[in-house]
Amino acid sequence: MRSRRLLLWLYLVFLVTILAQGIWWLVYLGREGRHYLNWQVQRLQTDQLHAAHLLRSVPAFQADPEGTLAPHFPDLHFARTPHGYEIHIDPGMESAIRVETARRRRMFLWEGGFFLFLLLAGASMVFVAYRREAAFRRSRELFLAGVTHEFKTPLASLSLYSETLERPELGGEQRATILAHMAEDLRRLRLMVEQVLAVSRAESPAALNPIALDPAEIARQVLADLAPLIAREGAQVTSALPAGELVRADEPALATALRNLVINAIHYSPPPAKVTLSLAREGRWLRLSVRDEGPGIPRREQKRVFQSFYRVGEAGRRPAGIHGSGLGLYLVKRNLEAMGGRVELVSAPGAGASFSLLLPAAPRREGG
Amino acid sequence: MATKKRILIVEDEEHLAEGLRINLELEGYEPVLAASAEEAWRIWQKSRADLILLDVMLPGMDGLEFCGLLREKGERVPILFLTARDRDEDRVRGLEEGGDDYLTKPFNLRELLARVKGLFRREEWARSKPPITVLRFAGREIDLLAFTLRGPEGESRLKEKEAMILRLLAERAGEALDRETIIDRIWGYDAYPSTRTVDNFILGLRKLIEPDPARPRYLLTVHGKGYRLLLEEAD
Repeated sequence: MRSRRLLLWLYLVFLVTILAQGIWWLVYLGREGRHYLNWQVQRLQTDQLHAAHLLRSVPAFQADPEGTLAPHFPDLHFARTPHGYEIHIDPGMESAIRVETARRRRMFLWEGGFFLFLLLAGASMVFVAYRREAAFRRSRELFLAGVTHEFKTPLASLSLYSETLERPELGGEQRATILAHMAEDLRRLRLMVEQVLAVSRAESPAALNPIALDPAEIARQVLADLAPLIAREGAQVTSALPAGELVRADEPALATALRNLVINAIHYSPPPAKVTLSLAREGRWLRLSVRDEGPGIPRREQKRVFQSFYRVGEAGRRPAGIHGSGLGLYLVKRNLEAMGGRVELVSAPGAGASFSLLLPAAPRREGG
Repeated sequence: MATKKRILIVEDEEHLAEGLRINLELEGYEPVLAASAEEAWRIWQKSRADLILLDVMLPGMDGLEFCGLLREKGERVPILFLTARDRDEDRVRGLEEGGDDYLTKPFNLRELLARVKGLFRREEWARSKPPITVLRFAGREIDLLAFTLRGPEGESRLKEKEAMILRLLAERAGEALDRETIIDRIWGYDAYPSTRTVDNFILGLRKLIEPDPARPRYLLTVHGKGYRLLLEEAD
């Protein structure tokens, strides 16, 4: 914390130094431009005096200054008058110097501005990278804290129960309750392990292997896997899945996302849960939706449900007995984004929730 | 027969709460369950408890806030925090909010029961009438029952822990007590991350009772041992 503040201070000092340097550079160059102009004007005036002196003191020059002196003073103009020769500075020369000065000033301004821009752009890139890194570290910490909590809770209850089982005065009914709770805690731990592993897979997109898949087929497999849960909860799952559509997706990632949506739909609906799966093509996208008729998700919570370890109704309204991992929807989002797709949520309190997985469609199967 | 001691368990994890309930019941206590701080507050207002087992991460109001709320209302019930967080900062925050002890999940059942007993023992000591109720230090007067300090600057309130430390030292006046003994009697074993905490409290107390805190006359450091309190002879 302290080192971060120190770093920020150093960075600010660095930025101020760069700005001061840049401004000083511009001021300095402006002054240099004026010096150049003065120096050129002085040089011409010295030449003029020098030539006049030579003309006066060397008789050979007086006869033909244009042939003898003029080649040595290309910037001077020798004009014959009734009283002899007058030496002027070439009027074209003066404006040429002015043009040259302006050109130099422009060049310095552009160069200075360009370098200042480069420095500031570099500095802001460093800053953005630093901010991003800090945000990433923070989200990592939160994630780790969440994972730790979710592991420790069932572990704490398992450890408490296993010690309690050693008490001889424990009644038979209490013993049975404890054993049932322990089995549930173990199930919860297993789910956590699976989900954390799935997160680490989703966070390394290189591990994904997107191929053309039949989403209807994946959905059928997921529903077959979940058949015991569906039967236990008495849920009614209907699906409208037209055949022949293909998506580009990684099979385990898509299956995990869909499974988590169906499990949520069942758990968050009052029993018996009514869940509908549907598939539709929308241009280049395929929309695979899971709709429930549960209590719905308030608008202000709709973004947050995709964060890790966020649960709807966390503030005391969470339906009793729901023990998710807190990673389900986070995984859905991560998986879909890793596959170049996205998740959409449409819901209103009391009107159920509809989660859609949008994935790039692959060319339709021949004859499908 | 003595009435059973009531223990309020504030824990949103149903299984953990149930396990605690079964064990405390078997130990002869009367456990009451609350799944949130809000529910615990309703229960508390209806009927007090003798001890609270408090989870830190609760839905809605968290355990620390609830503890702060109780202390704000002047409730001195012993509070034992149960939490999955085990960083030192978390412990210190819990104890600063007025918690008496701190246990991290997963915890050992026997240790939990020993802590609960220890808290009741300390509570009994704290509730019993002190053998000396008024301490006098050079024009300052401390009332160990009312937790008040009357001095040249008027009257002020002492923190509970400050009063308890003074009482412990006064009960064994003249004797040097080491920091571990003070921690054990005032907070419970292992509750605080370091014995420096005691030193901080002693510094605070010196500012209250010593005419010149830099050269203490009453609350003395015994090098290599701990602290001792000298009392003025009763007049």
